[in-house]
Amino acid sequence: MTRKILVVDDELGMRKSLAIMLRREQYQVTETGSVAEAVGHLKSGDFDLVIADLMMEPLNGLDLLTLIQRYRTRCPVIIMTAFGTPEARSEAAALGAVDFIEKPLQAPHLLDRVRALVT
Amino acid sequence: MLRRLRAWYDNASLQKKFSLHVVLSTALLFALMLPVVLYIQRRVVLTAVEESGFRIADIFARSSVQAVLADDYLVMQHVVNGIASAKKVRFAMLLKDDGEVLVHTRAIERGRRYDDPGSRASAGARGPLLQDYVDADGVRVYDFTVPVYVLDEKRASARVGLSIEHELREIARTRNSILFFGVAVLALGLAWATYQARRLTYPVRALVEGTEEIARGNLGHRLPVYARDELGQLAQAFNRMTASVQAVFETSREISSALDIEVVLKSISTHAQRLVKADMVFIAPIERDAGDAHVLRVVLGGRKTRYNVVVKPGVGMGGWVLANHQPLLTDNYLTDPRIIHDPAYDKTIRDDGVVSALALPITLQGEIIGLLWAANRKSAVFTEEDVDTLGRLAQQAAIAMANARLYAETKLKTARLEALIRVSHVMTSTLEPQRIAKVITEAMSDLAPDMVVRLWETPDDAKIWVPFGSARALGDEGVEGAEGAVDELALPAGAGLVGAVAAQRAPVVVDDVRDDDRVVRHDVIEREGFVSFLGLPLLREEKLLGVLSVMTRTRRRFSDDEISLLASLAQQAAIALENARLYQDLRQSHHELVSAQAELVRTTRMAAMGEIAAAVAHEARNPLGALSNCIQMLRDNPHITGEDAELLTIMQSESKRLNDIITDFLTFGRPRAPQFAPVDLHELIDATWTLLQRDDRCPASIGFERRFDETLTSVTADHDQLRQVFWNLLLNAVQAMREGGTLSVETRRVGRHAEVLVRDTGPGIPAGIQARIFEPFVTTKSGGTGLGLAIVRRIIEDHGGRITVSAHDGAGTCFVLSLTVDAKGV
Repeated sequence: MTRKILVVDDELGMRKSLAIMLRREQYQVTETGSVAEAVGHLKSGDFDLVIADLMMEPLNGLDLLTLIQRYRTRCPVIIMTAFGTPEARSEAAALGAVDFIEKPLQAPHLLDRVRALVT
Repeated sequence: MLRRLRAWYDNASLQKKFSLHVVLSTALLFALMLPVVLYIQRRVVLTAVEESGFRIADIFARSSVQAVLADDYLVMQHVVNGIASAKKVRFAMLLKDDGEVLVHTRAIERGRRYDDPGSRASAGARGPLLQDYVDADGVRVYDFTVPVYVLDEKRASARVGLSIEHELREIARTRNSILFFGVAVLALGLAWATYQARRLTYPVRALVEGTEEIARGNLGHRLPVYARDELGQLAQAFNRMTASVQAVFETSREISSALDIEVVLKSISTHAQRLVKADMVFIAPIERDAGDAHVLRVVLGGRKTRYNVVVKPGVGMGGWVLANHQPLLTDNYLTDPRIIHDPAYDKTIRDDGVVSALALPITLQGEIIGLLWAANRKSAVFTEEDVDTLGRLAQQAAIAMANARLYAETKLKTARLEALIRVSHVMTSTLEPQRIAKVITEAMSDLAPDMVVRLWETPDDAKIWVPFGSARALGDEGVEGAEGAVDELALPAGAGLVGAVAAQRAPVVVDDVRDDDRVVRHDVIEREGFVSFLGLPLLREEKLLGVLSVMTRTRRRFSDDEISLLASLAQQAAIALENARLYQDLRQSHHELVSAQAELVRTTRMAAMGEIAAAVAHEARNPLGALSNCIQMLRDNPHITGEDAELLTIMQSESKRLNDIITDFLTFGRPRAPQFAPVDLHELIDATWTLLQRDDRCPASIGFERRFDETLTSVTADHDQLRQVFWNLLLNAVQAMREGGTLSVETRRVGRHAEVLVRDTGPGIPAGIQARIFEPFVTTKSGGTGLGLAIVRRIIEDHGGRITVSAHDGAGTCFVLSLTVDAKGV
């Protein structure tokens, strides 16, 4: 059974390359550039994992975590960021993020984490 | 005794004296008259007796001639008997020379020889003889003898004795009657005299009582005037005198109770009008400082209560008095040949209907300090007495006016001193030039409301003089507002009286600015009605800080006191302004120092950051270059297709982005000096927008509005740097409007500046970072370097321009960029 992953990042290059990498691992990937769209996807579809960037405009990754909590969607979220502070990391953890990884992503490490979470 | 009599007389009332004199003079007259009357009466009576006696004796003698010749005396006895029949005939006889009685009324005596002296004198008499004696019976007898001649030979003496007792009784009775009537008349006269004395001395008593009343202070007491005789005149004179004394007294009293010159002048006028019953009274104090100008102040009864007429010496009544130092009384002003007529004065005289007039000087210690006129609409009303009355009033007036003046001067001096102290207090406690100017002008307008005081300054770059504060006010409102304010009163530097004061660096006094050819702003002078001018330079250690000008709306000669006061004020003002200037300089320097320090810190930090950024960027560029090369080569590989090709595209665009970031860092960290050339601002903006539309960071739903000021043809700037500026600003704007909106760019010319306004309708900038938006690494965008606006500001500042931002949370952002049109760099 194909696992479904939602990638949320307003950086086009990052989003696309991450999507390609995950598809090559046989995941079904949905891309979106904003938190609002992501929430829409989460409501309509059943995702096994969300990978979201922290710094986005106008709503950011932490906002997405809050919304996911509010809609009681039991879906694990990995937060990634280009510049992670310890405060952001602990805040994300508090909001239910399952992982917090920094860019640039190390592909094997990321794929291990994804695999661990969706199987 | 005599002394007591004298003392009694001295103390006796006028009535007693008058009665005494009347009685004494009547009695004296009577005493002198009585003997004369009696003597005359006696003479008349006795002469009559004498004549009749001699006639009888003569008849007797003539009738006896026959008897003597005949020596027969019988007939003669009948004759003598006949004679003796008259009662008062005591006897009649005929005597021989030897004394023998030839015939006698008593016949028995015939033949006797009389030997008594009377008979001897009678017998021996050769002519008529009168003997007066008292006979043996005690009867007063007149004894008449007439000799009897026969052919020139004396033969006998006819002798007749007449008793004069009856006559003497008559005389005595007459005397008694006269005495009786005399005493009666005397008594009546005394009564009449007493009555008359009472009547005549009544006015004198009234006068005495009146005087006592006056002495008691009842100055309103007046005597009744019953007649027009001397006493009536005396009473009238007394009343006038009392009125005059009352006027003088009341004037004095009012003077002592009033120190205000207006009140004093009014009181003098009122009294003068009443004292001489004038229709009009004019009074003119001579302004000591005004020289020849004498201004009429208070008028009663005229058309106006106040005239403003200058009395020219020699001209008109006042002029005559001024020239001659004497009062002038005229029965008809307009026809009086002594008066030099002036059409203006004559018109006033005619308007008021003045006919007779009286003018006199108000003199104090030989100096004329004022003029007093009384005028009447009837001819020949005033008298010399009125001149005296007004003269006395004028003396009082002089003292009163001098006192009032002295008081006013003292008050003024005190006020000036207070003002000086107040001003100096404020001036040492304030450092604001406007406030200093305000305090000085307020202090002066308190002291002398007729003075318009202004402080003038010359703004550093403007070649004009303006009233204090207007240049500053102008600076706040911008150039246009300033020009309006300056135009109102401004004087070109060096021109006008203010310019003259500045040029001479000394006080300038002008009695009448309307005649002064240095004046340039005749319009202001005319509109404000200025006449006299005093200007003082504000000097501080040889440096001219400003000019203090004083204008008055009436002709005025500034007194030494006033000039010295104003000079003190000017001195104070100069010190205060210098202090203020020094303080401003100090504050300015401090401010500059602080901002210079902050700038230094900022630029140092910027430079350091720029250096680091540039170093990092420079180092990063090499591996980036290698990456770029590899990507290029991989893209040339035709076997790479599908997702791999897509990955390559991502790599290429991301490396380009990385290069842009590095370029930003380098631009910021290693700025280059602008290369100035004329740049068409509008073309550059349009080109930037065209380029931006092709960029994938620009949403397609952005509207573009341009409002260009076509008078802005070009600015002098670095073309490439300016393009960078517009690129950054426009890119920021469109990036702020991801959901669409309108980008508007407006250009306009403001003075020597070109302004460019870049507006977006995005969410604006959070208030917290708005102040720091131009600092490097401050950004609101995820993925922004925070260098775009920092670079913009650096370029604009390198061009000598300015950039500001106004933004409201959620209501768009507006950048305003200001460039000097013909700047050649900073």
